[in-house]
Amino acid sequence: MNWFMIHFSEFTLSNGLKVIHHQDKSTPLVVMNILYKVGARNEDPDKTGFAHLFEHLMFGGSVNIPEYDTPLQQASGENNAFTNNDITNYYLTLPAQNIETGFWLESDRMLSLAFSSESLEIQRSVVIEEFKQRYLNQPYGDVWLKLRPLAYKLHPYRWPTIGKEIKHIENATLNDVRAFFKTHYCPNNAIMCVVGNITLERVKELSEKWFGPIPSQPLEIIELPAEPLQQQKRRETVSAKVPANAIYMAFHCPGRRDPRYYAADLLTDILSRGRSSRLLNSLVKEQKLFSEIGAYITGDADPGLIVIEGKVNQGVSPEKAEVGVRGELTKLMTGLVSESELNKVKTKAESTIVFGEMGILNKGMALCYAAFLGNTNLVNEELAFYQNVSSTDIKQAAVDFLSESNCSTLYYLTEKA
Amino acid sequence: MTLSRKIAPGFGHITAFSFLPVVASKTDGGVPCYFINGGDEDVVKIDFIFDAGSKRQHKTCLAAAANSLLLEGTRQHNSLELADKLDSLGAFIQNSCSADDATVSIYSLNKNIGPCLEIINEVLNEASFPENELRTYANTQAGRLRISQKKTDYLCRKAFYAAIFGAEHPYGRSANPEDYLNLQKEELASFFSENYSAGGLKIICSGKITEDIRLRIHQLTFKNNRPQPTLPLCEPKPLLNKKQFIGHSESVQSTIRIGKRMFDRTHEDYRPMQLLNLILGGYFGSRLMKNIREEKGLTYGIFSSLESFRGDGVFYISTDVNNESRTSAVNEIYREIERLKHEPIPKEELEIAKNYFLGAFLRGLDGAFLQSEKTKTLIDYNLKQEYYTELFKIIKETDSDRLIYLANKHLGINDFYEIICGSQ
Repeated sequence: MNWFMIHFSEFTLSNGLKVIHHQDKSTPLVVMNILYKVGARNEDPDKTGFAHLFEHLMFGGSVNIPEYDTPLQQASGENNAFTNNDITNYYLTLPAQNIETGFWLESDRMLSLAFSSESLEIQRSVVIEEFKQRYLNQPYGDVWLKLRPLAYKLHPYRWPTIGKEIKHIENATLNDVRAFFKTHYCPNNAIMCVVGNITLERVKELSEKWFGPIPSQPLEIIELPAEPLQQQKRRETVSAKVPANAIYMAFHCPGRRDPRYYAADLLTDILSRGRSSRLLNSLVKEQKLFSEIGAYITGDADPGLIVIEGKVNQGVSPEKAEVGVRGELTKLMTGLVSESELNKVKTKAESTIVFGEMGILNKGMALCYAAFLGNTNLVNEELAFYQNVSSTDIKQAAVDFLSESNCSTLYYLTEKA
Repeated sequence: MTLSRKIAPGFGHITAFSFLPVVASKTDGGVPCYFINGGDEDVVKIDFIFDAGSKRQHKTCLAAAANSLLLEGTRQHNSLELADKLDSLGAFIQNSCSADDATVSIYSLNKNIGPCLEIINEVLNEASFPENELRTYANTQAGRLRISQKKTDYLCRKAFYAAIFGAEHPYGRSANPEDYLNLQKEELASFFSENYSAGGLKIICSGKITEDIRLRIHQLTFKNNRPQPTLPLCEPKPLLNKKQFIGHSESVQSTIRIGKRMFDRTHEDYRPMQLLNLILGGYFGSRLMKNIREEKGLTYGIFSSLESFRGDGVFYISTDVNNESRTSAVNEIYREIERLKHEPIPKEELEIAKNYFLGAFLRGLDGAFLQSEKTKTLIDYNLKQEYYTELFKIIKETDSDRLIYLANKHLGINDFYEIICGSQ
């Protein structure tokens, strides 16, 4: 049993909208988080970046409300949204007494958008500037544009949320926008979570009132192509005007719903969580191969990636640095981690969960995401999944996922002048 | 009854802020400490705020390096032993260093707070700055800085502060990779012994505070209790040339930063200026955001900011745009500043801005950890709690005439610096 618990209730409206509620009487605020089960993985390979562009258009006015932001700000509220490969997530915070404004705004844009061509033109150029600012105008900024297609050959994770190329965003039409809305934006493809100083009864009443009348839509179930097992190592070398050589190594690993996910996650913690972790102490401090290095798991719904990325020290060849990384990975594949090292990463996982789910916004997002994965109570159960991982599981995860044949390596090198 | 979706539901106004009580006391050794008790989770955050910011350094990077390397070794324990202990306790440590102060914050599960505090206490008394850890740190920081130096936003920001305060002023100074690489162990050790003194220390503890935690904090002992000498005043040496273009050939966008010197948060106009700043560029509904992003689509984001340092401050507007859109973005920025001086702010716009402002402040008070940041601000600037309760009244009462007056008083166009970094 956890000492840390989020108590919640959930119910589903007749149109299929799932609603989650958690009450916190200590705050004067209420958060409303709405997750639509659509992300970049649901895009047409020739129209990538669309889920994210669409997220921008969700702020361009809905069928009955010309502007989304103004009435919310008027009621002292704040909102934002993000898109990733799996989901599009919208959230707002309001003083508790004004939460009905949130229900009004969110239900209207779930009902229908204004579909204004002016809004499309403006947001198209905003997103193109975002593409440039975040992916092109930063050293190493385009790395995921290169790493994804190297690691994925079939699955739609092979392109990033921003899209494969600016051209796709330039080509988006208002008809595409309408079709996307119709396919993905409906109550039976969404999860809503209301967290804060509000009772369950009030959430039920307001949900029925504002979201209840929205009709559900038939959902097309499209099986996404599974990524075939990688049989041999892949490599690519690119160069650009960057100040240091960098290495990115990506290994296929289980998705968020797979029981093996937890061992894979702890594996990356052993490699690079905290100042006592292995890669930092061995490769940065002792062997002085890298100026910095990190490892993490992408934590996607479908099978994702374990990524190791480091900046190679001047005077060290990338090949030598890579051998250093392989040495650390081999240790994990051949030996067992000690109980104390394992307990350390488990405790760290515990405090990450506790600190990560503080505050009503974090709780709202965590509850929605757990429901998206299929079990809202995962927010309370996942700690036990981490705690049940054994040293043998870690070794098995290393053997299963960290082999050379499962790895895509990208050398991102300094362009010779 | 049919639902009328075209009509907004009624809404109420924020009528007051409520603060968790801040209980001030002193450790047995006399260090001021502040307790903010709140929250359901059994966790605490403890901030150790030293008067050891970069204002006190005589060499670039020294203060930041000392702050970052505190946990990298003591006489009894090496870096790995300390890190291993803290990681095993599930603790998170956050180091931060500004010109004005240097902070070590610890986030801990309540059940592990005892051993966490022992380690922190050992480190704050006996940090030893081992040579090899210094070299690793310097190498990593130099590497990161080389990357930053390729970014237009970094180059623009750096040039902006240097132009306003002068490159030798604590608020205008920036580092080069060599500054990190040239640091010496002895310099760190002496900076530590001179500045990490309980004489300049304040402790803020927030979260679910038990009697046991309170007691443990009161019992912390510090060997160095020397009071910090008062810093001599450092006058800015601003650049005479207010316009700068920094060429950056490979960039596809330009960063623009336009701004001027301002004052710190104790100035009587600071709080109403926060409202003026919000209207111009402080939130998504701001004039700049509406004009340059939402109407013209020139940028992913544009914002303005009022930034307070102790005894000084700046105001600026910053954005990234296409190289070709540079001139039109700059012109629009000046146009929006001028409008503030001449046109009354429409009633509805002002009301939305005020409501949003108060909502944002309310969100900033949600929970003990966030309130501890407000407490830190009050302590830093020697302000009373009323500073924030008055804020509520000031925002409510600031009208369009007052904002026009403030814009004319503080946004003189001849005082503005204009820094652009991008390709020719």
